[in-house]
Amino acid sequence: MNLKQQFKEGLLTKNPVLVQLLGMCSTMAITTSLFNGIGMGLSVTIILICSNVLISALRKVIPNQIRIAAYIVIIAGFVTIVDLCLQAFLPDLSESLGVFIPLIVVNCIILGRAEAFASKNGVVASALDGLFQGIGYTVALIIMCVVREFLGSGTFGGGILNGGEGIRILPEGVPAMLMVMPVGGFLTLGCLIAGAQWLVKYLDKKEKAKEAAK
Amino acid sequence: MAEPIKQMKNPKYFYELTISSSPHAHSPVTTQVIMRDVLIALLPALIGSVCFFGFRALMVTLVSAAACVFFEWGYRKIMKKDSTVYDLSAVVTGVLLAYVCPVTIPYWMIIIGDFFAIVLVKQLFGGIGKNFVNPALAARAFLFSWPVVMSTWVKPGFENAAGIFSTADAVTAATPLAAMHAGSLEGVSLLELMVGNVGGCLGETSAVLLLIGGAYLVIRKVITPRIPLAFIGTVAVIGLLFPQGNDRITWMLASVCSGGVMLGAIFMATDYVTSPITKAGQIIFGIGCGVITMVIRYFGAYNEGVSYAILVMNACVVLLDKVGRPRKFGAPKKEAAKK
Amino acid sequence: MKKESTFAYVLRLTVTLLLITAITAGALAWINSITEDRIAAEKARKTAEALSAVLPGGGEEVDIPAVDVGVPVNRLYKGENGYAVEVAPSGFGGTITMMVGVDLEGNILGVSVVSHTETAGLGAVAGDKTSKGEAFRGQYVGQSGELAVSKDGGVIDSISGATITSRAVTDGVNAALALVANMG
Repeated sequence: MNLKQQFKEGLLTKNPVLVQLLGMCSTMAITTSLFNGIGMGLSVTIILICSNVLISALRKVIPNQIRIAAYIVIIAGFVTIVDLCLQAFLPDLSESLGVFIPLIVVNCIILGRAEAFASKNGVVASALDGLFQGIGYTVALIIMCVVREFLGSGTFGGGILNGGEGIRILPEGVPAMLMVMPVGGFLTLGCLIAGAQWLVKYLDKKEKAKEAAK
Repeated sequence: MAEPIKQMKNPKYFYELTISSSPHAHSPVTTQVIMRDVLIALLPALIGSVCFFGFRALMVTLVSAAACVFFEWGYRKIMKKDSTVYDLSAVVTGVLLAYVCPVTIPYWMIIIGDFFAIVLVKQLFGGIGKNFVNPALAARAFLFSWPVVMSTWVKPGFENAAGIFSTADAVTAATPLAAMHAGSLEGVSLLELMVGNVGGCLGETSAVLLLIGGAYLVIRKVITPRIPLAFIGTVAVIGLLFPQGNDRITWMLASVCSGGVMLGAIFMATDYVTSPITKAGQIIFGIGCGVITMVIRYFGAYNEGVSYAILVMNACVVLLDKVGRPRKFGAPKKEAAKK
Repeated sequence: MKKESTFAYVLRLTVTLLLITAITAGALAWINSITEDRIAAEKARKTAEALSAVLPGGGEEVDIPAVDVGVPVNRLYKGENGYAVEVAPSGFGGTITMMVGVDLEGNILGVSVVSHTETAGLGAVAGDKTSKGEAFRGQYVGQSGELAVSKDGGVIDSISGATITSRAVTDGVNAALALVANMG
């Protein structure tokens, strides 16, 4: 596995949100302010790296028949650890992400990567896979957050900047409230997926042209 | 009829082939003719609206129609597709969207609605004939992003009217629907309700003028009266059976004439693209719209349910098209029943 | 590879899963022991904050009298100057948990929303820290008796576009007033 390839897959061509369409529940629900997106993205990335490493290390020990049960126990363990730490050290983030942190247990990205990658590859490769997939997830979430927050609340950086209120770009009364509601999540995600597909095709074409030139 | 195959790449050799089985009957009825008829049918309501709400009503309608045409043209241009501006469907969408908004809506807001209707709801799904919900109603639902604007109603009458450029001096009032939602119809006579001299969306208030337009469409055979009758009939029956206030007959008439029932039933539920083809399907579609409308009015937090009722039923059209499909010529009855 | 007997195979499955579960549980217990105190302290701080916002000087939690006030009452605090009641009326999107401070004469000292699930931008204003939210909650201060929103003929101006939420908050305030009136 080469590093560049893995990075590109995580970020774009096999992006967990935009291409694999995994973890939709949290993607729709929490992407309403920048703070949420970064917090959720980092939490998932940390859990993904930890669970990938552990599952990859144990891949020869865990018998095939009970692998799903074992994976879920490991993932649930890490999720609970992150949940407890957030509650203790970042209570504001924990409150605004609410039930979606415990729900990472059933986030398909984690189990999906465990099953598709970590159970077949070495520890280092799995850790990198976790990192890159996590980055891909985080980037997708942040884009969704920025777009939805801008259109729906008219602010940038809600939850972090300007004492938590965010920097106001559009005046009160102009932003479309529906964009921070679930409807807006679907609309934004749809447009984002279309954009990602276009980009994948565009890069593909460029690469082919390059090869042909050679 | 099959799609005409166009070879536009080299205009020098431009020709158009239509591949379909016989009979090759030619009909003068094109999309453009149908849409023109719909626009003519919408005209009385617009004139009424100007009388009730002032010239801003006309301006909002014109801006909305122009914006829709612009977005339709712009999208097709950017995507390098044939222009469909001349079929007038974008104009109809623009006018209908204006009709379901309050007259005080800011122009920039209705332009956002037009963008949503034309680009997101209609063109992204493939343009005319491919959208699965009514663009104007979907845009209205989106415009509820600004709930305060979308539920501010001016009092009818020229002296209360909102200015063309500013809405500051408009006198607002509760609509008959709000009164009915609160308990019973008060302060407005049934006659006023039918004429449309009441508060409400720009083009929905006048039952009589909308019915005139509907009659024109039926005579011109643009629509069949099936869906409107089923829709309005259901609303009337539910109003008659379960009145919430007043006496039964008043409540029934008020239910039918208030809000968007007439506009929705005649002009929106009958949209070719988003309503069923089969007779049985159309009747179920109309009844469904009526039931959902009344359920939202009776039990919902918001006092009007016509737009959501039609949107929900739009989503069911795929299934309703399977109901009452005619038997294939020559096919045995049993097999047809099985299918 | 040597063929494994069924017994050994089942044993291997069981022991592996048991070990994984046991180790995970152990790790969790350890993390829990570290974070437990901090989480408890954080919760206590939040409650104290909400309490002092509506009841200057804070108060002690006391038993809730068995009176039906129409709205669920979660907690009751007694302070020097009056009471703070945590009530949970039903709003538009679910339960609104709110703290209402009432002085000994039955006047409202303050209202604060602890948690809610109202619509963002509309009902959520009731719990906002923005000027709009402050203005809405501020209306209750100093009021007494039976309150109602202006749409129902009362003095409370509802949040625009969120009559249901405003009614719910008013219900909660009324319940708190009724409960305190009952305490004497």
